[in-house]
Amino acid sequence: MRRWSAKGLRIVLIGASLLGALALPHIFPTTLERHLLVLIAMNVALVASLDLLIGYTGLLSLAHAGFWGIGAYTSALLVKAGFPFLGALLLAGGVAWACGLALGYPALRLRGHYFVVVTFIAGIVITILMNVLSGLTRGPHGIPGIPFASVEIPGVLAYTFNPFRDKLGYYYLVLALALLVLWTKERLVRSRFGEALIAIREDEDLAQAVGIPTHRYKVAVFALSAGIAGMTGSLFAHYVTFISPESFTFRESFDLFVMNLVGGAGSTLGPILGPAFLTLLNELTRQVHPAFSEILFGVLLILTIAFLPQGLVGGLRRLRTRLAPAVASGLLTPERSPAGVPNAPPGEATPELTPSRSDPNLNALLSSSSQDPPAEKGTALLRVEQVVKDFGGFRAVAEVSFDVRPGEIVGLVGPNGAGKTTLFNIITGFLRPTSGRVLFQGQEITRRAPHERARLGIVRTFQNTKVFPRLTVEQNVRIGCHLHPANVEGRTEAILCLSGLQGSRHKAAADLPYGEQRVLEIAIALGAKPKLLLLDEPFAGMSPAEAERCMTLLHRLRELGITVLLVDHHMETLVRHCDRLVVLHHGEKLVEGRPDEVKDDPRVIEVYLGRSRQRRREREAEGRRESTHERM
Amino acid sequence: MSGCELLLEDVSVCYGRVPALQGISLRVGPGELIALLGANGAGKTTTLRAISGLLRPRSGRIRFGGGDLARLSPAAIVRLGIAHCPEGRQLFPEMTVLENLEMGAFTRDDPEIAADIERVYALFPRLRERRHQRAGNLSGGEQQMLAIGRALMSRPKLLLFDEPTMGLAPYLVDEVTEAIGQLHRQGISVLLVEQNVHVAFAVAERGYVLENGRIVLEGPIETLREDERVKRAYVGG
Amino acid sequence: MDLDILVQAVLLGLFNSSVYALVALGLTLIFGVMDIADFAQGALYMLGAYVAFYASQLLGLPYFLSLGLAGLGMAAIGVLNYLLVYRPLHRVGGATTFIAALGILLILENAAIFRFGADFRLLPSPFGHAKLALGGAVLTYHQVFTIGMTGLLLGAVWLFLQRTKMGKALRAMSQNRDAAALVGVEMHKVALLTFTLAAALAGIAGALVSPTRAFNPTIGGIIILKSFAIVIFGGMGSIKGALVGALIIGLTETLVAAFTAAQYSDLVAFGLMIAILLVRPQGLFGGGGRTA
Repeated sequence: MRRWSAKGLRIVLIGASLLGALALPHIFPTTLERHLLVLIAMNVALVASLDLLIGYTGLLSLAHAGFWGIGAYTSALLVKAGFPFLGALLLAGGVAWACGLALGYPALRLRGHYFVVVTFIAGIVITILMNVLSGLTRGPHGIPGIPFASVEIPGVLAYTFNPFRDKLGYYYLVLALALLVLWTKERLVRSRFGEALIAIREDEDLAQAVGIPTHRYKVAVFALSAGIAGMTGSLFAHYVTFISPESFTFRESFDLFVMNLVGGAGSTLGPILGPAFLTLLNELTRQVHPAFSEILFGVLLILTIAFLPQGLVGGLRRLRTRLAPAVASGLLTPERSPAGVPNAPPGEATPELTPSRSDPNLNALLSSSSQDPPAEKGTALLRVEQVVKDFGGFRAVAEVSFDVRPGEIVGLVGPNGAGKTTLFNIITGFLRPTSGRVLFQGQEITRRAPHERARLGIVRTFQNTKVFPRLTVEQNVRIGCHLHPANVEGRTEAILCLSGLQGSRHKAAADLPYGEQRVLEIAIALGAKPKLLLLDEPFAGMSPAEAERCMTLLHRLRELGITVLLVDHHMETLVRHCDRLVVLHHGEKLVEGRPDEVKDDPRVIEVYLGRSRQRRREREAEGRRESTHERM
Repeated sequence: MSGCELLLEDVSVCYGRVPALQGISLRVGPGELIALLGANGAGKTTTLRAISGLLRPRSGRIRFGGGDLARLSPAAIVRLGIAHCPEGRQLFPEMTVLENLEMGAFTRDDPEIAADIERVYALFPRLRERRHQRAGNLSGGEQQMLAIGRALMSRPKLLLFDEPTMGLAPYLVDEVTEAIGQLHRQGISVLLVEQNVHVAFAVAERGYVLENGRIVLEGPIETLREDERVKRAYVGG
Repeated sequence: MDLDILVQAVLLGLFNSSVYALVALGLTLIFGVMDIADFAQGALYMLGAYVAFYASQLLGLPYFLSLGLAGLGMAAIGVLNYLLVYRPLHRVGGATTFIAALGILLILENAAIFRFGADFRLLPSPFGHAKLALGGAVLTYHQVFTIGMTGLLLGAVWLFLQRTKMGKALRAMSQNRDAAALVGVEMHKVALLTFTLAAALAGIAGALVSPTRAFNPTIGGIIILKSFAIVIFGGMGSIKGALVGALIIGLTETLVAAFTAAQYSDLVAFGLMIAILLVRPQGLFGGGGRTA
C-alpha cells in the first residue's frame, strides 16, 4: 500500500519520537549534553503550558516565569522544612494554580493590550515580592542548598534522583513531566473544553453568544497553565539547588514567549521544536558572550513575526507542501491548522440555500422547544419591560416595552440610529440597561451574562458578521453545538444540510463569500438549540436572491418551533415576512402591531415613510407641471 | 473642467481573500452629481475608500484628471482635488470646530484659507456659533456639517460623500441635502453614497447600483428609480 | 520634623516625576499616533545616558552639548527602529509591534552590555555636588536643573503641538487616523516626526539623569515599564494623562519610600497601576477621545 492511513503513520511517528527521547541521553552522554537535555525537557513543559494560553486561547501572558518561580520557591521551602519531594511537587503546582486563579479572575476581564500589560506587571510584582518578603524567601540572597529530588516510599521503593551524580535519572524525571504535559495538552485541545478555547481565540463575543462561559474557561486554562509552570518550577529548584528572584524575572517570561513563537504557537510540535532549538542556541552563543544569546533571541523574535508568523512548524509545513504533499500529513498538520485546511473537492455540490425537508428528526436535533411543555399561545416568550439605556447624556433607548410570543417572527424596525442594535444587545446580555427589565419565559434575565442566556435558549447573530474565521465551516458549526454535547456529529450534519452549507464544509469561514458567511452565522447559532433566535440585519450584504433564500430558511426554522426576532431598517423586507413589527424611532417605541397595520399607521408614515411619500407626491406633481428636472 | 473627470476601470478590492469589489467601472464627469446605490455590504464604502487611497485596489485603474491614483497616498490624492467626507463623520474630537476646519486646509498654503472658513460658516451658520467648542461635543447634525465643511476646506474638484444623512433628524436631512445640492451647483463634482434613497433620488443626475461588489445597473436617476433591482436593494423605497 | 521629610519627599518626587514625564510623554505620543507600545524607548533612555557619558568623558565635550548629542543620537536610532522594524510590521498589526518592541529593547540592552559592560557608572555633574537648601529639604543643583529642563522641554513640546502645522497634524493623527489621511496628512512624515520627538525626549531624559543616578545597561527596562504603566494609568495616547500620571506615580514612590521603606515603593506603584487597570482600564483621562 502506497498510502498509509494517517492514524497509523501518526502512531509510528509518536512511537519513534518517544524512543528517540528515551535514547537521547545515551546518544549524548556527557554531563553538559545531559544537562542541556534536562533544560530542554523543562522548557518543553513550560512552553507547552504557555502554548495553551498563547496558541490555543489567544491570551498573551508575560507572567509565566512568575508562576514558575512561585512553584520553585514553594517546593524549595517545603522540602527544606522536611516535606517529601513528591508532595512538595504537587503542592508547588497547587500554589501556583491558586495564584493563577487569583490573578486570572480579575485580569481576564480585560482584553487585548490591557491583559498583556497586567500579566507583565504581575510578573514583575511577583519577583519584587520574592525580594521584599525576605523573612520567607531570604530576599535577593536566594535559597541555597535545596535538597535533591528524591522519591522514597518506605519499604517499597527507595530511589534517589541525584542531579549531580545522575543527570540521566533526572532527565527521565523531567521528561516524564514534559510528556505528561504534552499529552494533557493534546487531549485538552481536542476536547469540548479545548474547542471552546479555540472559539475564544477566534472570536470571544461569538463564543459567548453560543453559550461558552468565556471568562470561566479563560480563568480555568490560565490557572491550569500556571499550575503546570509551578510543578516545573519545583523540578527546577531541586535540580539547580539554588534559587533567587533573579532566576524568575520578566526576562525568563520573555524567553519562554520567544520559544513558543519561534517554535510555532498553537501546534503540537511547536512547543518541542522551539525550546529545543533555542535552548541549544542559547548554550552555544552564551559561550561567546552572555549578552549574545539575548541579542540573538531578540533578532530571532523579530524575524519570526516578520517572516514566519507560524514559527518553525509553519515553516516545516510550508516546506512539506512544496516538497512532498502526501508524506507525513498525520503529524505535521495540526487538527485545526488554518493553513492545513484543504479546500472542498471540486465535484461536490454547490451551496444550496433551499433547506431540504427530508429529515424528520430535524426538529429533535435542532430545537429544544420540543422538550418543554408547549407554551400557551399568547404567553410571552420574551418580555421587554420599560427598558432604558443612557450613554452619557444620550438616551439611546427610552422606556421600550414589547413582547415576543412563541412561534412568531417579529421584526424590530427603525431608521439607522433608532436604537435597534442597542436594544438587541440589552436583550442578549451584551449591554446592561440603565433601567427596566428583560424576561424570558417569565424569568427575569436582566442581569444574566450572554452565555447564560444562550443556555436558556436566547441565541444571536451580529451586525458585523462574526464567524470563527480561521476554522472550517464544519468546525464553526461544531463549536456552535458546544452547549449540547449529545450527538454533535448528527446535529452538525443536520445543520449543514438545513443551511445548505455542506458543499463548503471544508473551507475556512473567512474564505466564504459574504452572503454565505451570514448564513454560516445563523448555522452556528442553530447549534445552541435556540428557542429565540435574534438576528441583527441578517440580509445586509446579501444579494436579493440570497436574502430570499435566507428568509425561506427562517420560515423553515419557525416550522421547527424556533421563534425569531429580526432587526432591520428596511421596512418592506420585514413587512413581507414578519408576523408582527415593532417600530423604533429615536430610541422610543413608536408602534407595534401586524405588518399591514403598522405600514398604514399614520405615525409610522409620518416619521418613517412619510417624507418619502410626501416627496414622491411632490415630485410627481412637479413632473406633471414641467418635464425639466430640478435637482433639489 | 475636463481635468477633473473620475474614471474607475475594472477595479477590484479584496479584504484578505474575500473580494469586496469585483471589477467595477464607473465615471463621474466634471460637474456631475452621481449616486452610488446598493444594500449594506454591497461595496459602496469600499469604492470610496479605494478612490481616496485608504484602500489599495488589487487590480484595475482609478484615474482622475488623466493621472492614475492607484499608487498615490491619500494625501497626494487630496492635493489632486478629491475630498472624502467619510461615513460616521470622523472628526478630530478633541480639536475645536475651527481647528477641524483648519485641518481640512492642511494641504493648502495660500492666504485665502480664512476666507474659505468664512464661506463654510456662511453655508452652515451654526458652525460659526460653535467655532471654539470641541468637535466631540457637537450634536450629530452639527458634526455632519463640520465634516462637510472640513472636506470643502481643501477646495476639492470632486467630493465623495459617504452616508451624509445617516442618523440625522428629518429636518437636518433636508438641510444637508440642500447643502450638497448647493455645492454641486457651484460646479463641484459629487459622488454620493446614500442609504436614504430619497436623498439620492432628489439630488443625483445619474446613478450606479452595486450588488455584491459588482455594478449591476447604471443610468439616469429617473430610470433607476423605477427599476426592480433598485427597489429590492432599497426595499424601504 | 515630619514636615521636613514630607517636603523633601515631595521635592524628590518632582525630580522623579520629571524623568517619568519625559519618557512617558514620548511613549504616549507614539501610542496615540501609531498604536505601538514602544518599549524600545527604554533602551534609548539608557543609551542617552551612555552617549552623555562618553561625549563628556572621552571627547571632553561640555555636559550641555552632550545633552543635545544624546537627544540627536537617540532620535536617529528611534527613526531607524521605525523604518526598519515598525513600519514593515505595521501591516501585521495587533500585538506583533509590541512584541517587536520588546525584542528591540532586549537587543539594544544586550548590545550595550556587550559594548560597555554591566558596571554601574555615574557622570560628574557640571554643577558639582552643590546643594540647594529649601527650608528643611535639600536638592542638588543638578536635580533642580533636571526639573527645570523638563519643564522647558514639556513647554516646548506643548507649543509645538498647539501652534505648528506639523504639531496639529500629529494631534489629528492620534485622534483619528483615517480622517487625518483624508485631509491630506502624510502619515509617514508624522510617524517619523513622532519617533524623532519621542526618542529625543527619552535620550535627553537619560542624559539628564546620568549625573544623579548611577546607570548600567539594564536601567532601561524598569524605567520604560513604569513609564508605560503611567501611560496606561493616564489613558493610552493622552498627553495630559501621561503628565498627571507621571506626577502621581513619581510622588507616590518617594512618599512611600520616605514613610515606609524604599523597597516597598515599587510594590505600591505597581499595585496602584494594577488596581487602576482592573477598575478603569481606559485610564484616568482615557475614554472619550485621545490626546488633548
